[in-house]
Amino acid sequence: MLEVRELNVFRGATHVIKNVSFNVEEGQIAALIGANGAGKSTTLLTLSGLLRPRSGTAVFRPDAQEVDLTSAPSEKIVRAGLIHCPEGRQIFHSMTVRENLEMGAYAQLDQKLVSKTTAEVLELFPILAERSGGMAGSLSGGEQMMLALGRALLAQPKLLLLDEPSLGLAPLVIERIFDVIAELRRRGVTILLIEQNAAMALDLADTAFVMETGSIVLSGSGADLALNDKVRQSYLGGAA
Amino acid sequence: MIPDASSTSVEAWSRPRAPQWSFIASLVIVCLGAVVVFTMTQWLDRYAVTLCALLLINAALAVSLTVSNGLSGLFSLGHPAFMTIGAYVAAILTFPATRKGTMLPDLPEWLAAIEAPMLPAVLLGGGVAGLVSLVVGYAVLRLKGHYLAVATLGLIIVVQGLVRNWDGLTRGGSGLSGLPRHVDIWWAYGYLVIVVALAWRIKYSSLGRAIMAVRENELAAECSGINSARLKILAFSVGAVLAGVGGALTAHLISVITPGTFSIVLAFNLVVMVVIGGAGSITGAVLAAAGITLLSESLRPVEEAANLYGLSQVVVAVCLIAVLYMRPSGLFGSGEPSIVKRIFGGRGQA
Repeated sequence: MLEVRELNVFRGATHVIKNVSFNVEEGQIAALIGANGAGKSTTLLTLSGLLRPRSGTAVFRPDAQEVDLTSAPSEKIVRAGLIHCPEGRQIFHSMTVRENLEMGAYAQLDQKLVSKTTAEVLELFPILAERSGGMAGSLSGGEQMMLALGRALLAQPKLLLLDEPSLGLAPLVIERIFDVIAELRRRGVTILLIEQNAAMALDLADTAFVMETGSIVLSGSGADLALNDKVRQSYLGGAA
Repeated sequence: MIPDASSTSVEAWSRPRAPQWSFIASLVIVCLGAVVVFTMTQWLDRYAVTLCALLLINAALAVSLTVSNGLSGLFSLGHPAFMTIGAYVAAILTFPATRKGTMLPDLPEWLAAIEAPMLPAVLLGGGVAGLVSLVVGYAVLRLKGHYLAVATLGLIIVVQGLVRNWDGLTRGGSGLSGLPRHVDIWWAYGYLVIVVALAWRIKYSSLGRAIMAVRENELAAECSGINSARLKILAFSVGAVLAGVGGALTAHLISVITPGTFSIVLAFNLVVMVVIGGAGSITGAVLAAAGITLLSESLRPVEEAANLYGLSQVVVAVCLIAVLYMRPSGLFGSGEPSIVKRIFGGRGQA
């Protein structure tokens, strides 16, 4: 569904992504793990068209379409079904919860589908229905994350890019979010997940990639990587 | 498990609003306003009526700045530049053909022969201002915060410099006087109604919501499929077109236009109106513009009597400080008071 080949991205003069290649297959959860500054977020920003690579290809193939992510404008990428849920939740603080969700459906033309998805999202996160008229900025961190996820879902994702959904959340809330991510996979959404919480990410992921200073150094199934000595040492805090 | 709350609120979300009622209500308000304007023309002297017309135009300009600055969060000071462009374009078009030959020798023949009526001249003035804003916006809207403010401030100076030195087209520093007085208070009132209606439509449409989303969080807006660069240019240009029209109307109201008519001081005053009213609030912009114009005009006799020139500027500045101290987000924040929203049919709680 997503095919990235030899991607090179610069931010200013810094070579952030170096010759990165990977695939994400339909229906899978793929995890991209790595330390701070490894280039994970930059990868996602590039895939959603917010940053442009210097070289390489990235192709998104939902259904029969083919979208070139290195040249298509971000709104076209969104319409094709590649939805980026950026790091740090990034909700619209002074808009209501309802308005935030409506923004997610900005590119949608089918009003029936929008109300159907809205009902599904509110079923997934009942708290959002309770708070629908309140300012999004007054939600707790976990609720804001749910709102960010709900907003992304209203954009009808076929491939969802999640950037650190566990950032700054309490363990119980993180579990709730990960349950939802697993549920989304059951519903047929393909997911590319960035996490620092490597244990949880590998537990959930079908495939996983380890990124170090801009390159992918390891890849394999989530279970394999969780057993890999190097990964255990660097990211899972286990003894070698 | 589906809690009841979710299903009921989904219904509420998709329930259609009643647009007819608010349309009729707005129409009634517009007619009431027209009655007030008519009464003014009957009872007040000519000077006072012209002053009221200026007040209406100022209010409309503040609303147009609310569209380009308030909704989008841009901090542009470029309004006087676009007003100057609109005013000169319209003035050159409407200027009596008999006087054009001697006063504006560099005009191309077809322009020198034209003596356009007011409406097309005003529209062209707004149109040219809009075109300039597209070009300028493409370049300067990459800048943020004070960088954008400084760049648009520079735009005022560039436009003034051009106008001052392009003698053959603009008559330079001495300006164009004796413009036909095509504009009266009815033009000003019509302009205000159109600007407010347009701003209201934009604000409470998905377009306006998208522009406000860009103001709130550009990254999140782009992730929702919004082309933020295009929306910023759009907001900037809508403001510029309306400013161009406003400049053209002002010039034909006071029947004179010089390079200094719309100065940096005006940019400051308009921004103050938007800030006092609350960035993004249309009601706030109208009320603040009316209040400040009335205040500074009513202080003018006091200034003269007490020989305290500049008093009105001090008072306006003090008002600004007081409002910012007591209500940091302006009188109405970025929303509209609920009574106004009930009449004109805005949506949402914000």
